Amino acid sequence: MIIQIEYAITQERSMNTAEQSLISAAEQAVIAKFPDFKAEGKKPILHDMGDHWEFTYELPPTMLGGAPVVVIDKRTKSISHIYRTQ
Amino acid sequence: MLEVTTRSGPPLDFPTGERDADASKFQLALNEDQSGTTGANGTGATQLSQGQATAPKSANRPELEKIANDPTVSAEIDKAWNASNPNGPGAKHEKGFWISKDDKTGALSVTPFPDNGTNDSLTPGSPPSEKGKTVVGFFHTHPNTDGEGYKQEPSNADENFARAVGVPGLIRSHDGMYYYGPKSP
Repeated sequence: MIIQIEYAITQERSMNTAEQSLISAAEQAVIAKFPDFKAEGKKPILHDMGDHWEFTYELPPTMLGGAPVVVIDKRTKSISHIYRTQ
Repeated sequence: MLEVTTRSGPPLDFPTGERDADASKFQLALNEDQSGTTGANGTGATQLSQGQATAPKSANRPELEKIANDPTVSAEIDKAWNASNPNGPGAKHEKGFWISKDDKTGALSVTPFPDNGTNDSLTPGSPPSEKGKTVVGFFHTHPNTDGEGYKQEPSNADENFARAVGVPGLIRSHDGMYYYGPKSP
């Protein structure tokens, strides 16, 4: 399923604001796609991968396991993939 | 026999050569066991094991394939896989264990992780420290399917954990076995 992000970043906004918008949109997508996911204790992180961003959650270093991953295409400004790792 | 689960995406269509290579590896594991070859555990066990088939997308790690197909370890992998309830119904739980090697005999043994797994996470605790044994790796299950939205391969946390403890990881998934992380000591 491709979820279009309501993406309202203007030229004059700072990068931090842009990142916040992305994170917020990605978090909403995770809630919609994986309503059973519990984000408590996991740190949201956004990776700049060149032509796309990857949003996910970081687990404590003592843990094995996964989290949702949201791939956001920079060109189309839409979510191209959303999946979970385990 | 490993179950092959239908993916939600395009149908699996591996090149014939790749399929044949996997079949050959599987057959090789069978032949070794049937001939009564002394396993990595040094016991000369003649137990017939089905062997652990490697996932097509896994890194090529023959030394870890050998560990996974050791009769003792392979039986424990099967046990942990079934205990994680990979085909439902009901809740799934990741299961796992440390793998140690006897310094004198080379025999492999396992130490179970605490039973604290959720369907997609697990906290193994510290590696066991037993005199005369060296931890050579750790294993855990990935019981969730592609159809449930899950990737089968190691996660970033899995990779980070292997680097932190300094030993390689083995995973049993619906795709087969994945091998990753640093070299075994």
